[in-house]
Amino acid sequence: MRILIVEDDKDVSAYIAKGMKEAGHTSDIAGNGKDGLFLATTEAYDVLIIDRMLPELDGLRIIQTLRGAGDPTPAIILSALGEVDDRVKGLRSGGDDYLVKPFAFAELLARVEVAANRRSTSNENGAGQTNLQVGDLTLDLLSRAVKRGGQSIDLQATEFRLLEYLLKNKGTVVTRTMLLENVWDYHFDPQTNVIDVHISRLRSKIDKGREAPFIRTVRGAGYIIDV
Amino acid sequence: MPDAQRQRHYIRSSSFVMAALFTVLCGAAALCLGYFINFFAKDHFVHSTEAVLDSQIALVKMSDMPQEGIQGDYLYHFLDEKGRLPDTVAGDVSRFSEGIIVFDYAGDQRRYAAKIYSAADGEKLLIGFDITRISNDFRLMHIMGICSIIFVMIVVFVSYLISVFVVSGTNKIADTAQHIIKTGDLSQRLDVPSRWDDLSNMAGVLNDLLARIEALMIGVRRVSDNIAHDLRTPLTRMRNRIETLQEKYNDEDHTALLHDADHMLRTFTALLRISRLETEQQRSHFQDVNLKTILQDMITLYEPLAEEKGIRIDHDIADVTVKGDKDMLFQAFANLLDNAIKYTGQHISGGGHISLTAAMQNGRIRVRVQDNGPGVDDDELDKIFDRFYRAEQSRTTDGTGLGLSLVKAVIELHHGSVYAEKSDQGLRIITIL
Repeated sequence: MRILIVEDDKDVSAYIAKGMKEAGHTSDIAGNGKDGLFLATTEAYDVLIIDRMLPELDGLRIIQTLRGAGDPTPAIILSALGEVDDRVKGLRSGGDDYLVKPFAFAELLARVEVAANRRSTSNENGAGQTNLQVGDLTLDLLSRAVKRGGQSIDLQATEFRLLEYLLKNKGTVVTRTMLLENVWDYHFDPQTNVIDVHISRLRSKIDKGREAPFIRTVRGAGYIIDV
Repeated sequence: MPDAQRQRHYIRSSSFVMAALFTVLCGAAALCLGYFINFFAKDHFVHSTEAVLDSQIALVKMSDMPQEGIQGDYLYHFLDEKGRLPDTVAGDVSRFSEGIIVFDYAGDQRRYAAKIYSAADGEKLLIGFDITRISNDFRLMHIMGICSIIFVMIVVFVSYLISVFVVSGTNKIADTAQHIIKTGDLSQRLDVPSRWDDLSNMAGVLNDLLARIEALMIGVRRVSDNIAHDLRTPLTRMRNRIETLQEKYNDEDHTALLHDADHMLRTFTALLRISRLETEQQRSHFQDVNLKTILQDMITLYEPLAEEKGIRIDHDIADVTVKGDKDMLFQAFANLLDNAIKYTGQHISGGGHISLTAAMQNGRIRVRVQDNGPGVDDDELDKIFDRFYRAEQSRTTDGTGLGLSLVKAVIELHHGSVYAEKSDQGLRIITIL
């Protein structure tokens, strides 16, 4: 994947670029808004990571300009501000995701991969898909039936949505915050790891009698369904 | 605002009451004055006229009968045997007072008051006194009386207009101010139609004040944003370096260090978040949200965690809607529930028990979160919402000590209040929205 990082803090951008390199992605760095917009319009990127407060040109303006020109490249906004109003403004200006500093690199990486994935699956026919399948597990979105190895599994509504989200993003790490935001649809900071209990319940149902867990825990990051 | 309410406001307003009072007093004063002038002047006039006539009669009685005709201010006229008034008088005669008549004399077109004097020989003499001047004065007074009534009515009308103007002006200012308080949007300004009247002048001054407050708020915001940007960024950098080291060595020391850095950042973030909520009062994005949905979603999120700890959550939630921010409300109530789960007495016989109810009470929403944990001492009940307050027994528990402060900031942003009560079982936290 090719990523553009627009961030005025050199340490942060170097940290992101280094992490991305380790994860197998290449990245370009722009130190101010003007250079960022120039690179974003002249080069082709899979994902843009844009800081909100930038010299020369505000991060939101870059995204607005790109969207105005019909450029749909997924953009993730980084910000030191964290209130709802800012988040709403960020997403309204055309950002795909909003991440408040400080963040764990794993969180950013997961979001970058999901954002890139979402674009490519929606470009194919992923959006109209009603049947999700990984290995011997199938999930039917219409009949809301889940089967593993031919055996049907009875899931509660939340467990179903959790599994659905994980399956839709199979092969990429999904963080706990992403699960809260997408499965429960609330942006908030849980003081305890409430998600872990839900995952372990889901696991106890779908892994019944099997050795290897279907949903794998990625330490310090989140969960993944390996393809 | 509906018209009926505005009307009520208007009737109750001090300007209207003052205008009404003014009108009543003015009217009463004018009436009293008019009445007294009229009463005394007429009385005086009648008496003096009568006295003049009586003295003239006495004069006539003592001396000879005067000549018929006008002599100075006096008029003498003999009546015929039947006692009828002469033709020159007969026209327009009115009774003035007991025994006195008033008429316009055809001879000189002047107005006379007259008495009839019956002489000893049976002759009847009409003795008149010229009252033209006094009568004219009287008529003038009459006109002036009517004028003063018209003036009073004009005063009534003008004071009505003034009170309407003042009331609608102050109402407009109050409405805008109310709106600013409600939405927290300091960029709004009062309408200043002109600069000549006091109200517009006041609105102008208030606008200057608002501009100043806005500038200060922006300043505060800029400072806190800069703190967020300038301090959190190096903190993040430090945390990231530790993360890199932790990945490299993957030992306990580095994991603990990373955990500490994360905790520090989390505390810092929570603190910034609370102060932003308190200083900015941003409500412009508020919309109607169903509190029942929020609370039920929260319970489904936390129920497995509670069950794992052997805690039962009972709930009875009414279908209520509140104007606010969905995520913030979720965060606030999740903090309350999280807190309750943390401190609920699992070891108590019968297990841990949390009850959550939401109901309408006196037109407001009352949410109650009750646990059967150890509770808090009476003198500490109001301190639990303070920043970094932690009950003695929970010092060891992992947390920032800001969870309940955040609850308070969020609830107060929603114009609500939150307080804690000691119950026979544990702690009860009541939120009024």
